[in-house]
Amino acid sequence: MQTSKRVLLRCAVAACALLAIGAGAGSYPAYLISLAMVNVIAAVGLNLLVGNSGQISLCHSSFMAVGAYSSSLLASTVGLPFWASIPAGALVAAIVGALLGLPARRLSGIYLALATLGFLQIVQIIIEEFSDITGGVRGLNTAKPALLGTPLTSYGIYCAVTVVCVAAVWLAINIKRSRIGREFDAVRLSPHAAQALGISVARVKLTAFSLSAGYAGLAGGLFAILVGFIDPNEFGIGSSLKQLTYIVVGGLGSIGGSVVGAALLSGLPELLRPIKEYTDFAAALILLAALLFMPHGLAAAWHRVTPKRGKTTGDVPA
Amino acid sequence: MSPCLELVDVCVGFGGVRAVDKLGFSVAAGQVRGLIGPNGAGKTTVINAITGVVPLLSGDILLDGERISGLPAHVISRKGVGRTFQHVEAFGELTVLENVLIGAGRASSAGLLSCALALPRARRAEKTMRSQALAALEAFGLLHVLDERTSGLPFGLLKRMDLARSMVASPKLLLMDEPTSGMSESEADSAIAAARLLATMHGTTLLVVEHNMRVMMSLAQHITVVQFGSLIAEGTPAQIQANPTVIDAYLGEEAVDAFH
Repeated sequence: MQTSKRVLLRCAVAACALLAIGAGAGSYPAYLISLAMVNVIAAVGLNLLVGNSGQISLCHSSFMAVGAYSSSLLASTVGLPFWASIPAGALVAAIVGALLGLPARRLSGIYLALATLGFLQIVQIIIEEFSDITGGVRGLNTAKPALLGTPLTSYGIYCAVTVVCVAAVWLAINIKRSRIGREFDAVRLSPHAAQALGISVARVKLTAFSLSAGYAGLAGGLFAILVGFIDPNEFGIGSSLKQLTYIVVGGLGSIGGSVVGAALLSGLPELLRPIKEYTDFAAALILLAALLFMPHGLAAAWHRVTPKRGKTTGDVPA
Repeated sequence: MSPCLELVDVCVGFGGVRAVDKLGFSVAAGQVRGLIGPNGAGKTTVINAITGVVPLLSGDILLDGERISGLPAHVISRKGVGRTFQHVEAFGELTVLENVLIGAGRASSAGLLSCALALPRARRAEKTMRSQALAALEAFGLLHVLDERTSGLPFGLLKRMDLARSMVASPKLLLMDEPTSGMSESEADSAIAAARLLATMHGTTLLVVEHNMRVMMSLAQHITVVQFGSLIAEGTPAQIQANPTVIDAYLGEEAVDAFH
């Protein structure tokens, strides 16, 4: 179909533009852009779960932790190169997500929120208690990523993050436009009608949970090589809430919204550097303002101001 | 040849209430069967029991001679049992086309990986679903609203969307829960004509719950009457209209007058 080629082309253009920007920018701006891209990956995955399949998760930072620790440990103990250890870490996170999703698919709303909050605490405890493996509260140094024996430069890491980020967004767009994506929406909007149309609500919920955990794991693995060090404090409830803020501000159920929300809010700490003790305060204000004044996020606001194009696919991103 | 649908001594209860009590009837393949009864007679419960949404206390439900009672709802649906809803159950934030595409999805075999990578297999499946959906929308006169979100649309139009959504995957058996409620007379006539045409084309057996007796008497070849969850009469529309038990239980003197 024509549209899928157009999506691929746009993603390729975006990747080239980002690679060029990274080459031109200094190493610190490039590092900040990479961090934003890591957040974009996590937000896109979380939005498939929350915005599309309608399940809440407060433990996505734990899935990031699973991805970060497992990819780093696979690199340092088994000696996997980074291009294999990061996808492997994402896979481990997806499996953990599926295992958590098995009991969680029977829950919804506040109960699911509490169950995922409990999982977050368990992961924190495991990180602290198994300090022989995880480094405990002191954290873990990650192996320097190398390609064919030569260590990656910081621009090399930037390129890796860019390619993975754009690919992750591309995959999400394809999923959302396909039968799978429509099933996510169907399960959120009317489980009753969904099952009458042959959709296994339980399986769809599980798929969404696992897929979304995989995205978080991917983000976690990239985060580890980008920073070069894993700090367990990065994976607390605070970063789970930050990710939820990205998608609420960007627009629930919208991939474009996830990208824009995560990218803009990732830049917030830099913008507020002069008053950095108020960063969390500002983030909270933005979240409240978004909930009050644009409950459907930037994506819906964007669609209100842009005239309707002759859309044939009906992929309304809100 | 075994009937398309067979109910054997079906009992369904909620707490102490028997909503369906030892109900048994069968519907031959390709038939249009009406299911009528006073409010609260258990008609919608019968539909929910056949589709696996409510569990049976006892009894069996067979589709083409194969037991389907006890299976999960989505499995029953995939075996070829479609349904429409009294209150539509539209996927409100989605467009009319997307709603119907979801109905077409049960025929697709493209998995997560091929969808994510937009492999040719997934693209072909998408194309097939799309053409099926467009054909169903055309049959029910909905092409002009295909990109409209369903949340703002009038009820009669949504009822037609529900028919298109349930018929797009060509089910063996379609259970219609008050398909014409909320439609104007002319809307009802054209929707029923379209549903009938599609049913004949795909050999779909219809079981219709309907309060509009004018529609029911012209649509159904055979009518089953239930009261308090039990069968009280069965026969052709003419026999039902003349049956004193039915008149007493349900139609009432005035309703009979209305037919003449």
